Amino acid sequence: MPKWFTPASVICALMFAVSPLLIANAPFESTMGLVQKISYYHMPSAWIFLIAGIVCGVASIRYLFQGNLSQDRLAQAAAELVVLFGALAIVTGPLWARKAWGVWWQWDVRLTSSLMGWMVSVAYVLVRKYGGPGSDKLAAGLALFGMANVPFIYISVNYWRTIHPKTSVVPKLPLQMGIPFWFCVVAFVLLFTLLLRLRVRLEEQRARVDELYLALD
Amino acid sequence: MSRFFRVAWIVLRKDLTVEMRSLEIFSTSLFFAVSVVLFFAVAFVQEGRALDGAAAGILWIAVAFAGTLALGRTFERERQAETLRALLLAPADRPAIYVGKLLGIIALLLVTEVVLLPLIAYLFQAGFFSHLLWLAAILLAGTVGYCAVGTLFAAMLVRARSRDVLLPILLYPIAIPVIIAGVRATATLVAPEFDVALARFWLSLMAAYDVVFVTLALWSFEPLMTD
Amino acid sequence: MMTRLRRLAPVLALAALLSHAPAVSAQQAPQQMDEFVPIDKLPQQEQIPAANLLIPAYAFVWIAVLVYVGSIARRLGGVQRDVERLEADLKARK
Repeated sequence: MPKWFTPASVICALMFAVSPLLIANAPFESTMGLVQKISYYHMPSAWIFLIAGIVCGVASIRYLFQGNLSQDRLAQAAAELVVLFGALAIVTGPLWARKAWGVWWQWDVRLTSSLMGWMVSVAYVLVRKYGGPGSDKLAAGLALFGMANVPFIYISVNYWRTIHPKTSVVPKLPLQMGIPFWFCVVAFVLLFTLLLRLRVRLEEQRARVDELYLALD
Repeated sequence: MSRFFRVAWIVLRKDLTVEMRSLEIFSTSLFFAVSVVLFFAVAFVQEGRALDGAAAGILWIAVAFAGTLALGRTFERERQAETLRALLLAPADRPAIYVGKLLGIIALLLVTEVVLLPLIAYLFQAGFFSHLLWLAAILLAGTVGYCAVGTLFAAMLVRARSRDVLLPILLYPIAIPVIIAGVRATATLVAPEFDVALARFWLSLMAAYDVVFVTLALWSFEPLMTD
Repeated sequence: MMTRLRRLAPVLALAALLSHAPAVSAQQAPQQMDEFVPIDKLPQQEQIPAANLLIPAYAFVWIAVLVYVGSIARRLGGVQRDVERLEADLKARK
C-alpha cells in the first residue's frame, strides 16, 4: 500500500469522529430545523455516488477499448463504492424527505434517476460476482450502456413527471453551506479515496493469487 | 457496405428459417406473453372495467417479458449447437452478425405484439387502433430500442454462467427509459383525447434512444465479443 | 396542526418502518390528527420527531461504512493469506 494510506486513514477516522460534534454545533436551518442536519451526510454521499459512477464508467470504457487490466480493477472497485454511497444517499434522503416534504419518497427526477443509476451499479456488482468467466467484459459493457442511459432516464422521468404535476408542493431545499458541511465533504472524499484504494488493492492481490497459482503449475 | 448487409441478411434468413421450421421461440414466448396478460386481466379488471391506463403498461410488460425469453432462447440455441462460435469465426464483420440477430428478434417480437394487441384491447377495452400509423411507429421504435440492448447483452451472456438470471438483471435497468417512453406514448393513444405533441415527444425520445444504443452496440460489439 | 403532526411523526415513522409501507402511515395521518394535544407539552417534544429521523440516518451511514470496511478487511485478509501461502509454496519448490 502507498505511504500516504495509513496517515490518511487516521485523519479520515478522526474527521468522521469529530463531524457529529461540528454538525451538532452548527446553526439550525430556519424552516426545517433539526432534520436539515441530515444534509451534512446526505449531500456528500450523493456527490460521491455520482463521482464513483463516473470513475466506474470511464474506467470501464478504457478497459473495453484499451484492454488495460488496471482500469478493470478500478472500475470494479468504483462500482462497489457506487452501491455503498448510493445506498447511503438513497436511505438518508427519504428520512429527510419524510420531514421536509411529508412523504418518504417522491417520484421526482433526481430521486428516480438516482435510484435507476443505483440499480445499474447493483447489476454491475451482481454480474461481477455471478457472471463467471467473461464477466469483466460483460460488466464493462453494462457500465458503458449505463453511462449512455443517464440522459435518457433523466429526460424521460423529467417529462413524465412534468406532465403529471405533483400533488404536494416540494419546497426548494435550502442549503446550509457552512464549515461543517465542507468539512463533511472533505471527510467523504477522503473516505472514498481510501476505500477505492483498498478495494483496488483487493483486486490486485486476487490477480497476484492467480499469477502464483499459474507459477506453481 | 453491401457485404455488411449481405452478411446481416444471411444471418437473419438463417434465423428465420430455423424459427419457421420449428416455431419454438415464437410459440413459447407468445404463450408466455398471453399468460402474463391474463394474469394482469385477473388482477386489474374488475366488474368489466379496467384500471385507467393499465392497458399500455401491460402491453409493454408483456413485450418486455416475452422479449427476455426470446432473447435468451435464440442464443441458447446457438450455444447448444456450438454454432455461435462458428458464426463468430466466419470471415464476416461481427457488427453485421449483430444486425442480423437484432433484425430476427425484432421481427419475432413485432409478430408477438400484433397478436397481443387485439387481446389486450379486448380484455381491457383499450382503443389502441384509432391511430394505426402512430401505433405502428411507437411499437417499432420501442421494440428496436429494447432489442438493440437485449441482443447485445444476450450475445455477451452466451459464455457466462447463470445467463438466464443475468439477462434481465443487465437488460431491465438499461431498458427503463424506452419502457417508460413506450408506455407513455401508448397511453396517449388510449387516452380519450389524442395528444399529438405528447406522442411526438415520446416517439422522438425512443427514436433517439434507438439511434444511440444501436450505434453504441455496433461500436462495442467487437471488443465485447472478443475473449 | 403542523406541531401535532410532528408529535405523531415518531409513531408514524415506526409504523412505516415496521410495515415497510409508506402508504399506510399516510393513510393513518388524517385519523390521528384529531387527537387532543396539550399545548404545554409541545416545546420539549418538538424536536423528538426530527431526532427520530436524524439518528437512524447517521447511524445507517456509520454502520454501512463500518460493515463495508469490515467486509473489505475480511476479503483482503483472506487473499493476503493465500498470497503468503502460495509464495511459501513457490519458495519451497525452488
